[in-house]
Amino acid sequence: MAVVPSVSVRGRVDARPSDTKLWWTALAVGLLLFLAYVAVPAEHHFVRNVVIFPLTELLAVAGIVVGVRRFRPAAPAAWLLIAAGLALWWIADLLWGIYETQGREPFPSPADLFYLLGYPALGAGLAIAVRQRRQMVDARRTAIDAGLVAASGLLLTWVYLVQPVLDDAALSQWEKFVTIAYPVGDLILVAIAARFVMGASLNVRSLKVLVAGLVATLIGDILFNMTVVGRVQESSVSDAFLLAGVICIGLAGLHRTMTSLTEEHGEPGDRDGAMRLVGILAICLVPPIVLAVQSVRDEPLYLPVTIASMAVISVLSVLRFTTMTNKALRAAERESHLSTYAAELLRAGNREELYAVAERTAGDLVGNDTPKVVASRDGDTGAEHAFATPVTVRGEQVAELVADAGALNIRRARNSLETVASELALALERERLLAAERETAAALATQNQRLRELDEMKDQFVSTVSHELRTPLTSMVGYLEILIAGEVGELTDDQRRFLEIIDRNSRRLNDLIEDILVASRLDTGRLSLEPKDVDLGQLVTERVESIQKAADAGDVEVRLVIADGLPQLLADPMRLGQVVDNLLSNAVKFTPAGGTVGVVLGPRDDKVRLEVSDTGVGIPADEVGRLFTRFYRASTASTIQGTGLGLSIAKGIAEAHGGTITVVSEVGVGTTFVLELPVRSPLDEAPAADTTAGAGT
Amino acid sequence: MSEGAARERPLVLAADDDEDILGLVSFRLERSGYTVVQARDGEAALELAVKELPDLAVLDVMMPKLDGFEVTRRLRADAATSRMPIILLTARAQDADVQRGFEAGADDYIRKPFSPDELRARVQAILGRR
Repeated sequence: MAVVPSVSVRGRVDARPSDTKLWWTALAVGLLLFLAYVAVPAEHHFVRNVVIFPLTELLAVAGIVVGVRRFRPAAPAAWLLIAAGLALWWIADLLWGIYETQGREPFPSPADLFYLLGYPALGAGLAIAVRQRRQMVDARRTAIDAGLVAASGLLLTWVYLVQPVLDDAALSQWEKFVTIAYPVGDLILVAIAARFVMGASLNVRSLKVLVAGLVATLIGDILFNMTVVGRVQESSVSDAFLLAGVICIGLAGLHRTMTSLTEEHGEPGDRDGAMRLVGILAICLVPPIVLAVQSVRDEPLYLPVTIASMAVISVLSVLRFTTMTNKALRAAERESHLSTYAAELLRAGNREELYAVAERTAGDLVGNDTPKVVASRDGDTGAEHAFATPVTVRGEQVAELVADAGALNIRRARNSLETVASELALALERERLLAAERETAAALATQNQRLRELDEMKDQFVSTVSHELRTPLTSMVGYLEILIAGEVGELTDDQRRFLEIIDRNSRRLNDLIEDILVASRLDTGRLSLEPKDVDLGQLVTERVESIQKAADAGDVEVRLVIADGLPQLLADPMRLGQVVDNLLSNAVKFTPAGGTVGVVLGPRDDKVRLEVSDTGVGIPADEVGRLFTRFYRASTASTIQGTGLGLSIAKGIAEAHGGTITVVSEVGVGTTFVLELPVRSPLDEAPAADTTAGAGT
Repeated sequence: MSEGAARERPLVLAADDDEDILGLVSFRLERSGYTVVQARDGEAALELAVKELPDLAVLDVMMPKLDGFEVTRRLRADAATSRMPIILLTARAQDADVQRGFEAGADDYIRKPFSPDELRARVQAILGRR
């Protein structure tokens, strides 16, 4: 069983040590045979032309057959036909060698038949290679190139090889025919070889060696033909070239890259370079040069042939330049597809749209609708595609861009398709980021909504609870009042005192409930304010009057100073009264007997300022900051009753009016609270603040 | 009013779903020279008001079946009771509710918890001191 080479997915044959060793051995043998042939003097016909030359050819045929068995090219017929051509030449050379050894040189002879049959065999092998490669190259362009080479070759062959033979009166018709058949065979081979070389990248050793072999064979043939027409002295140089050609062709077939004759492995290069242009121009110059040489040497000009070849070369050159122009136009078209593509990606809203845009652009680039974006999660169908490139987002392959146009279109569009894939990847990443952002925003909105609902529930709860608490309190304070009034029987002093304690605490409980309700409304921003035009001077005066009784009881003097030019304020008088009450009652409460509470009201810039200062116990500096914290009570206030909510509520109400409350205090000296309210109240803009907030009893 | 004037003691309708508060209102007003009829929900209050045509009604706002605002509105809509003085009692603290009470047609509005003496003073202010 033949050793099956390990073949990778893309058909590239991996190098094996045994293959490499075999090739180098074959090269050494080929060199030895060549050197032996050159070294042996020409008169030893038998050794040279019956032993060494046919042996070399036989080994070359064997090399190709071994190569075909080892490397299993997709289309083995190409190499096998080339081997067949060499085998035909082997027979011919063997026959000729025998004639030579016998001292006979029959012409034409059976050897000529085998020689001539070798050309079509070799040509057919190369033709199969060209055919196999048609998908990978621009057939029209390579055909034109080959045509140019053939046209110029035809002219040269005609002028220098064919016409002289035709003009040779010494030759019979039959001899003329056979003699001309050789250069014609060469010409056909050159045309097919040119067609092959134009479409293949000679970046692998096998093809380089094969082309070298063909060139050597061609040179050998031309030299030989020239000896026939008598332009060159007979020499063994042509035979050496032919032998080198045979060795090279055999070695090419034995190299592991021999499969690239019919299969493109590397990336075919761009073949419209400057060298091409120079080559085409050089070919265009052939007819004039031939004309010049012929006229200088005073030889026939063969005008019809020359003019015909000039015409053919001109037409082909024009066609060739047209294909170049078209190619440039198509490249420009691809560029324009790509620039439109970038804009369309930006407009696409989601992943499906992005895929659709990429598929449409890729379709425009390859000229059909086979390009697809296959998402990785859809699973690889395992199908082989002419083109496939991964779409990678942050190191993770999310999809694959595949296309199935002809290999030629794919090759032209390959770079563009890769750009399509990489831009798609960027767009997908952008889309992913945007989606994450949207998700986060939606999650935050939901959370916000839930928090708002919870807040409302809390407010509702506090509201309900405080109203529910008022019902039992109503009975408590109501019946207590009747009891204390003595309406249902005389009370002892102790009974009265205790009932009064219960009464006072019931009222405190009621204040607490009210404060909790207001604090909760301030928290949720649902405290309803009913703004009216307020004369703050009058409001403060009333409040000072109402605190007077408590102040007198505590032997505290209250001094009120109201400056002139006090503007009217837009405010909720009830709530603002609550703030002033709180500041005044705090001041009175915390001022020991004999102390003074100063109340100063006046305009200050675009504000109205109320200062309430006392000569009380003061507040330690490190506690001032926490004074407005709910339920916080300064350490110096421990003996004074209070809910701990008053100041936080006062601050909340002041802020709802766009104002501030600040405090300056010194322990043992006193405390000053400053309420500042803007003349232009924010209530101006929203006069109907939440007036529907009340709920339940 | 003509029927009320014929009575020896003015008749007051007291309506509240809380037994103790109802007792408190009744005690205070009976001691002060009024006759009190009691209702424990809005429907009963409306029925009694139409049937007894009291000289004054003291209505809790939050009552089962019909709230105080609704009872007030209906009494005002009925020709026989449209001029009956009405005092609303409520645990609601918002000024907006006071506003609502007056819009419904109440003559006065007392917040819970209230002082029984204050209630008496308000009743007397409307009906005249006895």
